[in-house]
Amino acid sequence: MKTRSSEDPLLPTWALAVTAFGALIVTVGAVTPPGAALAGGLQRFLSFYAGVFTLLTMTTAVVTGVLASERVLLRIHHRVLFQGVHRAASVLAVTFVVAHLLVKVLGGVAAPVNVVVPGVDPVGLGTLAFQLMLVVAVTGVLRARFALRARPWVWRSLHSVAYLAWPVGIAHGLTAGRAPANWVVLGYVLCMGAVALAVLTRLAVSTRPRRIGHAGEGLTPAPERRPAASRAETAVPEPRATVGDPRGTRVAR
Amino acid sequence: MARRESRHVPYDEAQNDAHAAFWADPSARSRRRGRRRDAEKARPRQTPRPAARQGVRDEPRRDAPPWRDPWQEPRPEPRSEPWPEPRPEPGRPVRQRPRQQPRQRSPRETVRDEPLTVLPWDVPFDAREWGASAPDARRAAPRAERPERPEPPPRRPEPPRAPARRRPPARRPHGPADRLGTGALVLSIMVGLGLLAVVERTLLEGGPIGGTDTVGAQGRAERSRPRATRPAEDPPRTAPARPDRDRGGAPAPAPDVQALTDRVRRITLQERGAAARQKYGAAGTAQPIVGTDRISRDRTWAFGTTAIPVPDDSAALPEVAFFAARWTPRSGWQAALSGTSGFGALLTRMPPALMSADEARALNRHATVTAEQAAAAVNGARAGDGLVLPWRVGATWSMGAVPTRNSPRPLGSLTFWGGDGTVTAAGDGRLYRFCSAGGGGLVLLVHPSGLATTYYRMRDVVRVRPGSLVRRGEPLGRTGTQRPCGGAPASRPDVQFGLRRGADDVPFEGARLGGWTFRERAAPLLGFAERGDIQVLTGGLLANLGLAAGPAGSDGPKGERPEKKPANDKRRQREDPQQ
Repeated sequence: MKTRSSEDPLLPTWALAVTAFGALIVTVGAVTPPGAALAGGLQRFLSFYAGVFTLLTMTTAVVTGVLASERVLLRIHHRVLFQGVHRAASVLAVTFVVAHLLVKVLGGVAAPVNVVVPGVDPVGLGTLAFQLMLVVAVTGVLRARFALRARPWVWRSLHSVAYLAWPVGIAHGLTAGRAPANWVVLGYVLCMGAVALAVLTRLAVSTRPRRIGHAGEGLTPAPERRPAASRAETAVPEPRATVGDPRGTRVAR
Repeated sequence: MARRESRHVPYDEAQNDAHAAFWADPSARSRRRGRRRDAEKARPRQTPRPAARQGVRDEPRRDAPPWRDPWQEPRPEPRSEPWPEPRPEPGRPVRQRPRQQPRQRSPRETVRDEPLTVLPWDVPFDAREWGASAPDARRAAPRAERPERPEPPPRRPEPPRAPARRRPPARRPHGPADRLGTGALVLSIMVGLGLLAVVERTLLEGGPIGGTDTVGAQGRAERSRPRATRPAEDPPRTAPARPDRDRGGAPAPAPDVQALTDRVRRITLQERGAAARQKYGAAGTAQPIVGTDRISRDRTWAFGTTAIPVPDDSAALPEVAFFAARWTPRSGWQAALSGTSGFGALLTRMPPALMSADEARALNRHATVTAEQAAAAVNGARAGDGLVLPWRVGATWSMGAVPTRNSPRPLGSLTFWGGDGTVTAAGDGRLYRFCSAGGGGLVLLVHPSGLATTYYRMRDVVRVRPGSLVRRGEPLGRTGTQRPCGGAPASRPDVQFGLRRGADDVPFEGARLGGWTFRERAAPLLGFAERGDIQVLTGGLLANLGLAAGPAGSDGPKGERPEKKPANDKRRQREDPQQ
């Protein structure tokens, strides 16, 4: 199973054209009365549900991100799939949190200063969670740079901010806005349960020693045509590096 | 989209090439580790050292050796090597894929099989160093001692990268993870376009919708409220879009406010006309007075008040109602009055910028409260809103009631006057104004239970935004003779006080206000307020005993409170200039 390479451009080429065309249509259409009615309805919908979607997608991102490192139950293609889900959910989470902020500010429910100034009140908690989430998102986008520049620990510690952003976001969701209904509280509890389960799995796995696999392990070795094979060729450059786990792979520069 | 240029080759690309190379020639040895692709391309095609040149070690080779397949060459015997131990030879190069843009290689440029920390073009080929690793060779022959070493070619800032789109076609995204990523991207773009529309509407209609009374967190903060909006501290906020002011000569978009007004007038006459005729004793001739308090930025949602004006010969309270309306492209304006079935549905779907959730709840309660519930809220059968009489607690005002034609209610139009003339809120609630074109109007407070109190004929009506929270005892205006909703002229400045629910008036029979219980008797048409043994007829003086007096007619220490009335009366005489 192939997945998207981190060297691929961030957006496919068609995305830009589609976005530009759609933006043109939306810009023109929003001036017309039906478009205005539609925009009003969308604003109302987003002001109610963008936050909910943010919570759901962020929970999904956290859970799949944790699970993608699980090595006991999941095969490699499962983990690749989870990485894909993790990326998709993260993109959606950032989208929805931006929509949430924008709609709340435009609706006059939050002041524009709330976007940048965190605090300990319910809205300020949301700001804090948003900023932590931004850190996580930026490190996620720049993962290739961090991971390949021999500083994976920097990336790891920065990306671990997700473990902080998520509970803060949960606290924000429970305290700000309307008083949560019972099913909303149930949803929060389910989200917390899912993340707790995933983290427990991760902890259990991380205590288990890692089996190091080398590329071509299962293949029959090629016949030695050169008896004078060099040491440099036989030596594995980095014992931790595998196909699925390229950390530590030396890159020429 | 431009490819990102960078110095390093990401692992998966290098790895992918390694995969491709492996599958292209599985018997070839892997060069996956630590090699960059272009470095592999530049791998020296080194010929084995011919035995004939073994002795020639004086001068470096200046020409690039031509490519010859080492496997076709006769191999020298390892034992014939002059070095004591056989040195590793560079392996067979990975089979080259056709290069799209062949790189111009200088003849000097040969690359050794050495750690790639040393760039290949930094090390010219030197036959003396053949077989030795590069650091050793450098140590053996320092730069200064190398004879006539020419200048290395200028170091390129960027090693030549393989041209874009070198990946095999199998690399095109097709896995479920890629589909997920694409789906997320599409969804994100759609949300972004929607946000663009929202932002555009907001900009078109003049900046963010600030100024609702829900700034900040609603939920938890709400419980520490209601925060009173005092008129002194709260200057009138930006007035909500009024149809007559705001729309002026602007080109009318399809949701027309005039059409909305006409529609609300028609509905008001349809649904409240009969009740108004019965209450006023005559059919009103004037059109209902419609005030659009709020209209959404896109002009598709509206909320406001409507009132049927009272004829000049009737002293009844005006028949009032709230309306909520929505414009749709297909069916135009759909409006519903408070007390009808569609009102609640429209309220709950109204944009939060237009109506906060708790305000919608309060209005919906007001619209749907039944006559029994309203009576129970005010007569003490249920925990009500703690209503008092609409003036300062402790002060004594006169009570009057104008008899109205065809009305079975002796207290149908209850008026109060006296004191300093400052009318105060009877309880906590949200304030709305009807017939408020001139700034005054009929004030209606919607209390938490859904019951509302109305205050009419006031002057200097407090200027707060409709829907603002008002606390018990806060001033609402002064007794006056204004008649914005019509009605008989008053003989003195007073305030006409009434109880109201969404669909109808609430009779005063049994109502407990400020320690007094109001009674209406039909046999002799008589209305009075009683407390214990004391009964005050209309025209008499009434002290506002506030909440501390407890329920009217109760025994206990408060029982003698009415005895203080003369004292209050004296003070009233002192401080009331109008009497």
